[in-house]
Amino acid sequence: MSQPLGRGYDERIPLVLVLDTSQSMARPPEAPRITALNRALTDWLRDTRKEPRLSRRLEVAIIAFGSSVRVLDPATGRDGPADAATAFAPVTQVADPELTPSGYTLMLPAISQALGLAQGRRRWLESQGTPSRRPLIWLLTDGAASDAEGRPLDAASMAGTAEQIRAAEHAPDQVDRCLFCAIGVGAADQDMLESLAPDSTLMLDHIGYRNILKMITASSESVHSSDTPAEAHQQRRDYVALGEELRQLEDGLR
Amino acid sequence: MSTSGAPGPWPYLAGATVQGRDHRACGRENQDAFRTATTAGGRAQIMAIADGAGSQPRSALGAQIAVDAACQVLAATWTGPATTAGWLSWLQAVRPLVIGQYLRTAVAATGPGNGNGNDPSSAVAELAATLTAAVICPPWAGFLAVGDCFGAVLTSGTAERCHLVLPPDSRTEFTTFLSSANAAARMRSFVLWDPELSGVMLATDGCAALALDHPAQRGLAVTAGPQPAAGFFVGLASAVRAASGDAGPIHDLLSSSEADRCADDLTVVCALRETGPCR
Repeated sequence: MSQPLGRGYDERIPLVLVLDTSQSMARPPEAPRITALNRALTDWLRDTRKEPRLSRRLEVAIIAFGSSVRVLDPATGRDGPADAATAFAPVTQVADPELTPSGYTLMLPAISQALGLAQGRRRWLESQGTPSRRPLIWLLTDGAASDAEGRPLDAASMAGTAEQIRAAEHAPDQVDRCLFCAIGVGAADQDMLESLAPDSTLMLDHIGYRNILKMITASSESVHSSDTPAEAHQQRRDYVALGEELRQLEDGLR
Repeated sequence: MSTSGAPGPWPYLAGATVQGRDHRACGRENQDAFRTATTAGGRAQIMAIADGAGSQPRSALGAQIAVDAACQVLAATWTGPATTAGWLSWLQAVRPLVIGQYLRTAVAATGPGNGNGNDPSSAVAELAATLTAAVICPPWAGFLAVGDCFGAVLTSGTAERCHLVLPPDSRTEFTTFLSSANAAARMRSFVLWDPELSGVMLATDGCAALALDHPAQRGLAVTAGPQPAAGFFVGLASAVRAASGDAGPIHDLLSSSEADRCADDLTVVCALRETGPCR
């Protein structure tokens, strides 16, 4: 067939990475987690760009949070606009971010920002006549949410954000729905994360950022539009469990 | 699965369906179906495609019931209308008949004790499927559609051209199924008359990325909607004709690395005449 097949009508998958860049990411001093995260992001972007299907479908926004919440400009990897039309870019056009650790852990405002961006993106894609799937939001943290003065937040303080997440996952209008998942590494507070995301908190310190990002990619394609949030989160847990079994098998073979 | 053959008014009739990548990956069956039929005497060709709801456990069966119902009802009731008004009147009359036939068969297929809590409506919902059907009696072609499959016609003047007469619903998560309460109200039907009509092609929504251009790719406003990619429609039609009506080219494309862009099941069925002026 000499004439081209369809162009520009691939179903988009908006993905928001909400990354903890608080001071704790500078630990441990001999191998700072932020260095591992930067390296893993660079590798992940490089590998994903080479994948024809994902490069047409996956579009990425990155939010970094410490003592402030920053939406990164996908073209430069530096602070950028915080609107849904420009905060996302096809994975082929996302520059390698250079994240630096500092400050406290303003996790809750970052999650709120991510929910707003994801829902705005889906609406924007609709307005552009572009097919899309439910946006996916992935929080990666090694700590616990704090306020602007660095004070840890209690369960009551988390309730509002937890309700915001639940409302976004079950929004009456399907175009407003998104999925939220939390991944804890290092000394992340599992109880706190589970209070935000009871069905979708994963503690994955042992597999490394590279494998975490691979898992995010794989699960971004496995979420069907018809899956309920519970089904989608179960698939993710199954995927992680399968990966764990494979790793144990590989360890056994060594 | 693919099929070829043409006892109808045009020499080439071919269709193929291929399990989508996502369904292969998670072990789900192909939930698309297609079927063809002819009216008495072979005057009109009928094609139907259906896409089972991904969320429903028995939607592959539902898709098969949908195409069977469409072919049965359309073949049995076709009156050979010769005017636009006659076609529209017939299409209007068959809409509830197709839905009724689907629902009767679906209820029978669910049987007692199936579904959630023996609720017949939930049992039928497990068989949810979209449906698009075309009845071709050149130069006429009539269409019925519930849901987000799409269809194009080809016209043969100096060069063959494609026209997206039945675009997909861009809001893919708001699909209407034959089992939906509002199916009758949401069913689209229309007829077209074109002496240069040279082909009719139907596709399930899984094919959208292969078959459609975003309007921006053509420098058009968003409101222009998706545009048919000539490489898909005209290219496939040429390949099917070159293969003497064999469905192999359709199957090959839907199984190719290009089709790896698509996640969902892929189904295309087409009826074609030779290109060039109508005889």
